[in-house]
Amino acid sequence: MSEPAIVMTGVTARRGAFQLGPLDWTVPRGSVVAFIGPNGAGKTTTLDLLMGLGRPDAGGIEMTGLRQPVDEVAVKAKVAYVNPDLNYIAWGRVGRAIDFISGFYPDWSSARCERLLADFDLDRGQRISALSFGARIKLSLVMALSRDAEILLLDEPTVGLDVTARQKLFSEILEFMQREGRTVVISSHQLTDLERLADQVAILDGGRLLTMGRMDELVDRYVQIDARLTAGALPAMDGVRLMARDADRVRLLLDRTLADEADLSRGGLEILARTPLTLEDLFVALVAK
Amino acid sequence: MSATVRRLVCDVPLRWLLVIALEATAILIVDVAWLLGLIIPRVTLGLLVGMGVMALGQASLKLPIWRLLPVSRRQIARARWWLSVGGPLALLVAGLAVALAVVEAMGWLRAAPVQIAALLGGECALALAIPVISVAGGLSVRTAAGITLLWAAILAALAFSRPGPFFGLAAGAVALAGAAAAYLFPRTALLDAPAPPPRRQAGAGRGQHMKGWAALLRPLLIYAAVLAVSSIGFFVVMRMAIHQISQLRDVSVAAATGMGMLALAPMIFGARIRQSARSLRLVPVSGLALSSILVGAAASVQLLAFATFCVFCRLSHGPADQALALLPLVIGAGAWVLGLTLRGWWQAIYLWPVFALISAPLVDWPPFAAVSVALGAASLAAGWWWTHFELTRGSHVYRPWPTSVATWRGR
Repeated sequence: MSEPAIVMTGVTARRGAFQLGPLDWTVPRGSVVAFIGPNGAGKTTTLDLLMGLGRPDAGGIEMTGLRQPVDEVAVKAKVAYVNPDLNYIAWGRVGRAIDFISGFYPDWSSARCERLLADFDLDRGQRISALSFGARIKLSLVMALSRDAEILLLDEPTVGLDVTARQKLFSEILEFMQREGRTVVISSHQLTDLERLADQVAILDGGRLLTMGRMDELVDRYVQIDARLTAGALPAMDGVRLMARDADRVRLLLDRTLADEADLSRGGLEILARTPLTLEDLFVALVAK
Repeated sequence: MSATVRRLVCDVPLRWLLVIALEATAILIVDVAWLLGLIIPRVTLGLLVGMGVMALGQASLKLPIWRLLPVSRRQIARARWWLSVGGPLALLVAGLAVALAVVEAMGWLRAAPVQIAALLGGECALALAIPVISVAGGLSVRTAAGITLLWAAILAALAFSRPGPFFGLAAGAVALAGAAAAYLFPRTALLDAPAPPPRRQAGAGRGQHMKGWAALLRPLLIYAAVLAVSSIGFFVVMRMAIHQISQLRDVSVAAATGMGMLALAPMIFGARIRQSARSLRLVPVSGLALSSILVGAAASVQLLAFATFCVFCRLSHGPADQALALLPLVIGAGAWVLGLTLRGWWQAIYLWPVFALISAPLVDWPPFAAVSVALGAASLAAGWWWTHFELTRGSHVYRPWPTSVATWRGR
């Protein structure tokens, strides 16, 4: 049980002009990971590679100790994936799609499936082509959550969901995490929700991991500093990033593992205010161009 | 067949069972009619091509979900083979066997074994070419169809001068060898294919306005070329397929089949429009203007393809006159096909043999040209109205596109 849920080692994948990686990322078991990044950062590509949809150009992927793509069948049996692009329309009706998918998973729980259908206001007789976008996401969630998967990969699971459905999804994730050794990776732009739910965070930008770690540690690691320049120019310092400047007033992002406030004072800065960051603030500060 | 592959293959919805039953009936009719020496139903040979493509399309539609299931790539490729190659092949063999039994029981069997084998070979070549190339090459349905049509056109051009049963036998042998190779060495490249880069949407800014339209309509020129080649290819293949069976007149049937292919041009265009219908309706153009632009663009593509078709017919001393008489009807039918496609009624593909079946016996009727013009104009107006209705008041066109090509991202 101590082995990590996901290990990516030097994973590189080129898709046209975009290059993902090299990515080195380890996700511990039993964690809920917020996998965030701006549009086009490579989040979906990364999750697709984890699931075996496409192969990396270089590097290795291990999921629960199983290697992709060698053990891809076993990996798929242990991992559930939700993505807004999943389309069950070929099966015509909700019940038919469920009947087909459930046959592949010995750990499928019909009782849980029926409960989820009711919770998400879906009916087995509904035509999938007539479902709204949000209802299709709900169907994908039903398919993933009706199993006893070890890892849940959720790519934008809240897109198109109403508030009630979103709350239900979060409670389902919490229930999922009650089981031993379960891991959830959620890619979403709803950072407020993620900050409440996740205990780990990984921020991807331009195909590269900017930072990763425990949510509380990461949020504590950075602080926003408002300061006045007393020495004219802003000194170059490791761990200090300029976020905004207006004449002699500057707003800085300070990485406390690399520099501290005393370093700023020595560099000719008079500190006016220090503001703790939320995940959203941190994200904006880190990916700001 | 392993249990997993069987589970994938046997997952056939009820409506597809109906389609399969229809196809089996059509094959039986074609085979019985051929064994009895009749001509008209032979036009439905073209249905065979559609059969393979549709089976492949159905399998491809499910690929994004199949790839998430705990099944190996090889099992997915095998399931795809059974659905698109094995199934149609079994249907063809069974259909011919039943037809033979029926005709022999009646005591009317006149065809020699070599001719029967040639018929089966020709049917296999028509039905299996696109699926075999797709499964063996790991290609998308669209790419495989393009390659096959080009291949058919080149082959047909080489063999334009009336081949004998040998052609059917050789084509069948190649198709079966390809089917065997596709079974033994299925490619899974399609499962690893990278997602295509995002396509440009029509530009919203004033300065980008024309660029946006150009981006939307540019692929039409490529479609025009593909359609020209495919209509010529089908014209020639049909001419050969029919001629090798009997000495009956083949020109009108072949022309009607080739032109029937042309009538389907707006289906490809309509599918593209349907993909970006929401974006298209956001541009500041009235529904009236938009419908006119789309119908006009589709008709232009048909005219371009027809011009190429005519040049080919003239060069090969073919029947451009019959094709010309059919043109108004083709453009009128094309407008309907655009509406049908926007509605999502993909079964419009069946219009092709229907169009050929109806028009082939009439094309040499003296007043046919006048009837074609009148009916064509009426169809064009009705097709335009339908397109306008779908774009302005319909809801189907704005639903997610159900038959998008599977990519590794699952779209």
